[in-house]
Amino acid sequence: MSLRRPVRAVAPMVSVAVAGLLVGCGGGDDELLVFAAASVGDVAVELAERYEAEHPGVEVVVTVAGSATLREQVRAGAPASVFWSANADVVDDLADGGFVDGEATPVAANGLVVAVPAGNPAGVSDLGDLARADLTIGWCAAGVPCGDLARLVAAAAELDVAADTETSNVRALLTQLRADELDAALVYRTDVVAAGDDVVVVDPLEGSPTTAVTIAALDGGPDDLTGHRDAFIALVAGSDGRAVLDAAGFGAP
Amino acid sequence: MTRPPTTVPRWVVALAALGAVFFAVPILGLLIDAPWRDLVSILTGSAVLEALGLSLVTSVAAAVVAAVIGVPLGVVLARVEFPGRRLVRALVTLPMVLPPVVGGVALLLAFGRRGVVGSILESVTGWTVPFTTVAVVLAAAFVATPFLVLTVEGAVRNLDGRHEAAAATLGADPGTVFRRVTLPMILPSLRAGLVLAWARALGEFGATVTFAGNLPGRTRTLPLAVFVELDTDRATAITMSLLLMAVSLVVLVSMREHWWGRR
Amino acid sequence: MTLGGHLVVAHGAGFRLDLDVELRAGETVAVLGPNGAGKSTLAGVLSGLTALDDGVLRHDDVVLDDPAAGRFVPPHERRIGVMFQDHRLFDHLDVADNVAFGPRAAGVDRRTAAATAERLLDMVGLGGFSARRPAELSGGQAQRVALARALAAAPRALVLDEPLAALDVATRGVMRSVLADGLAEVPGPRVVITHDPVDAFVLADRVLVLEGGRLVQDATPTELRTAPRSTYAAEVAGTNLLTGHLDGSRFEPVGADLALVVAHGGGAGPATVTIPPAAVSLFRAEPEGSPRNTWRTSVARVEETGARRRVTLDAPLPISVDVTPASVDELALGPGVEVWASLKATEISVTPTGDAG
Repeated sequence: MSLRRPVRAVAPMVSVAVAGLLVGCGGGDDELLVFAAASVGDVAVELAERYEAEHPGVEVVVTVAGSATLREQVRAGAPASVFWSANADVVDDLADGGFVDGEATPVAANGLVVAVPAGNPAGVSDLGDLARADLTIGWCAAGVPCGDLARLVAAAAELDVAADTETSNVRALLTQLRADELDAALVYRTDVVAAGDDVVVVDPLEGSPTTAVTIAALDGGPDDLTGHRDAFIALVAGSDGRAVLDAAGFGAP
Repeated sequence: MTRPPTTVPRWVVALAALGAVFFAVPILGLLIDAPWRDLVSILTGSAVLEALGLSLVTSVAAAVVAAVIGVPLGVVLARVEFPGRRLVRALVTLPMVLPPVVGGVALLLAFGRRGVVGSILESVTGWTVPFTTVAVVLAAAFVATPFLVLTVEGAVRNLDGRHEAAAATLGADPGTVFRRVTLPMILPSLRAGLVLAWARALGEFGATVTFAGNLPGRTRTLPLAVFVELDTDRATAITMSLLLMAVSLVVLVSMREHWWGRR
Repeated sequence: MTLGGHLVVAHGAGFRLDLDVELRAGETVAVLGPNGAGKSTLAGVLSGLTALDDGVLRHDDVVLDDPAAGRFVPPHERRIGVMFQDHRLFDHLDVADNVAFGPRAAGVDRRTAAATAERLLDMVGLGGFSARRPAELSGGQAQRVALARALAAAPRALVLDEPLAALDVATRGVMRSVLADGLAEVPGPRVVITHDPVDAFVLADRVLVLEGGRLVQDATPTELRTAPRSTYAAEVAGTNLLTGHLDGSRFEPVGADLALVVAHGGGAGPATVTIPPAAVSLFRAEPEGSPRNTWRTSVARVEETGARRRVTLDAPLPISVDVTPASVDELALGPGVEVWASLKATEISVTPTGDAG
């Protein structure tokens, strides 16, 4: 069984089950389990494949979900070696709980933008329009990185966002934008890049607060994989990682 | 009345015990992890009460919708021969096997702003369904109604029509026969189906989060609140899970006592 | 007021009901026939639960069913009451509400309907049973409620479909007199579907004998007894009907110098008993053993009825007895031959006729 595709999970239970399954049938000795935030999912998969190519005999299994969801899975005992979070706070939470081995490394910066469906049917012009009650607006829920960042952005602009839905996963917002069910949403700049032509940016929010994409080594993975664990983190934090992150639209840390 | 002793093979009893444990352990896990000391303050928190209220209102509304469209569907499927009946039955029961998220997507494609029905609705009334409490009810009714349809269809199929024929000879027109004979005769099944549908609506998550979104006070029902809190506040998530379980349990057990207890 | 017409129903390939009937107001007609003769199909055709395949059914000038013209009046518009063999009471309603069902469906207000129900329950002898559930009733009680329910709907005609078939012999007699009272309530045509000749003789003014979906005889009970037109008719027509006086288990037929012991008696007063012709055994010598009713008599005549022989006895009890041809030879039966007759008490059906007459 070879699972190199990312395991995308909407519900935490599902990814816990999948992670357990992978560990179970692989014997756990040559599979490096990487937990990656939804916003860095594509980048993580690309770098995982590169790492595998350079290190035959190791499989890097990437589980993609919301950072907070992944944090709860680590707390519940998921045997992940690497935790790649959308912001620093979630990693700090894990560090406080003693789950992190060594220091966390900021690898990129990410910011939010005001995104609308292609063609901008509602005629949204900038962040200020998110206060309009007549528009259907989506953002992330408080407590998840993109939600916390969105609230920071709104507070900095002294804006009351008239939200119609709050998701715990930024990808859900993109799905709803693509379906034209939302007039506008606050999503990561990198998500808009990944979404292609279906979603466009109307306000890049230059100068607004940003979040620090952070990677950390976890204690909970298999001991004999710590070498690969640290090497993978080095790959992400190094120039190869930088290049991939740049291409995906991430800013410098 | 004494019954003759019935013998159940030991391995059947053993497997049954295993089954009981399988259901009991996860609930035990919730109970063990529950923040008992803060339980009352969490339960009386406005977010929890809001989600609970919304859940109760929308699940009951969904059960009403299920009754209004599900009972006629069940009766027609059981009694009326028409071309494509099997197709209709398959369609109606599809939400039972479909992943609820897929149901939510389908509802978006139908009642969303660009959807077949939703676009007409918006151009006529200016009103859109998604991200409203109505959407929550629709999503719950979508996944819950099949339970009622199947129960009612089965019950009506089991009626042999003799009593309805007798009612007709007494001068009752088809409407009266349906109200005063058919419905009362399937009442036990109807109640069971309604409770099942209500319970399914109460626990609905996937179609709701996809079609109705997730906003406190408007569309965030208890299951959605649990999902959100799982990522942010575990104690509250567990407390709300217990609450959801308690509400379901109280209703299911009291209904059982009322309607099936005298067996 | 008449109900009838040319009635044709084809059930698949095997069975075909094809007959002309004319049922008149105020007349009770028994439809008598063996199982599978089409009796219940006829009940369905009259009430509208079964559609005609051909022919026409009229109620006075109104066409109820005419497949050629595409006309069919549904049961609830016909108001032809049916009392079903399996009573079909509504389990979810109490006895009073069952009886009040017809009036309520016709739009009668609750109080009037309840009063009607109460009167009819009294009539069938179930006053005080109003609040019972059908599940709490015996078979005979359920049949009485079913009769009251059919009457409460003020039917234009009443069909009793095998009203006694589901009851035990002991309750049949009493129930027959209740049925007679009930039939008297209906001014229109009344039909008693039965395979028991006793019902026909006790309740009916006219008997239609049905066999294989065809009408084989249309006669008064007396005509049927004296001139049966088929083997089946002859067999059932041989049933002996005696009127007399009942006192407990002792029955004294009018004009007979003999008392019979009956098993299902009780009470005292005028009564009718029936004796199936096959229930009497004949012997040359006095029989030993249990039968309570044994008497000495002589043979009046011997006739051939299909595969059996009918022996008519002389005084003290002039009844018909069916025996096999072999018995006729063995006992050398012929006019004037002296024999012993014996009859089990349990074979005698008793119907009190005190009120119904």
